[in-house]
Amino acid sequence: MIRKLIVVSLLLFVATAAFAHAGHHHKYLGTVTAVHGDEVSLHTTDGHDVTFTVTSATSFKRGDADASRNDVTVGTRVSVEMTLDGKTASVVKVGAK
Amino acid sequence: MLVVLIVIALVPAGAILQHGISARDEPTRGEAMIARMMRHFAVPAKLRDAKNPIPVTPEVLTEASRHFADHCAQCHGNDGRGKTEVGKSLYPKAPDMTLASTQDLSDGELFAIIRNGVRLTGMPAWGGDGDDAEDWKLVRFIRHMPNMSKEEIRAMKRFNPISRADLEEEEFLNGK
Repeated sequence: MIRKLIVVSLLLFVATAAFAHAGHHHKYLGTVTAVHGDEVSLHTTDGHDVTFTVTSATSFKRGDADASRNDVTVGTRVSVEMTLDGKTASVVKVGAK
Repeated sequence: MLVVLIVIALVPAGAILQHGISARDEPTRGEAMIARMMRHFAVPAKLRDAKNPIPVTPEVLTEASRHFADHCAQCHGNDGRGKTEVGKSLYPKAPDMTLASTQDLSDGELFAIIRNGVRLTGMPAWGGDGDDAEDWKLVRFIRHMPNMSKEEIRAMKRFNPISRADLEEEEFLNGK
């Protein structure tokens, strides 16, 4: 009985790892290099090339005003706040081209 | 039966050991009650029914809105709804100050909460000797919050503290 209890306890303890939470929101600053459907590629100010996805939940801003995904074109400067999954944009701020 | 109880108890214990106790969660009823008690105790009896000595004028509201944007908005937001990164992560969360839970407090209670802060929450004690007027003006502004226009909220952004990262972002987006 005690052995069963230990095994069940260990299984439950290990199972809690499934509830691991993600870290901080990450932000990219960079210039758009390509737009393919929902995927946007970016050359960041610190020299990296990254690709992120926009969804219907992504919000677009230009200053205080609302913008749209159509404003994100090649050559546009953007600031991108990522969701906790690190792949999807939650907020895209659109800047100068 | 005892085995079942032990196993059930081990689930939250395992979660705590694995991840720690997070401030992301909502406070339990007991914790919320303690926080409300601490807020109640922040108010000295002589202030509970105190009236605001500062008249409501457009100048007072503008001055207080700038003060709020600079000192309070990081947690409470310019609109007072608490939906900021910090406000949402506090434990308990920053309240929506436009709602009755804040608006039903007396002027004196709001003043005392600003002045004394609230222990066991994220609310610090502000001000000090000789600047009562500033805090009473903030009380006037808090009363105005449920009726703020979008233009008023937008105008406050100029007075929000800006980090170096935010400044860099702004300059980059402007093509500098």
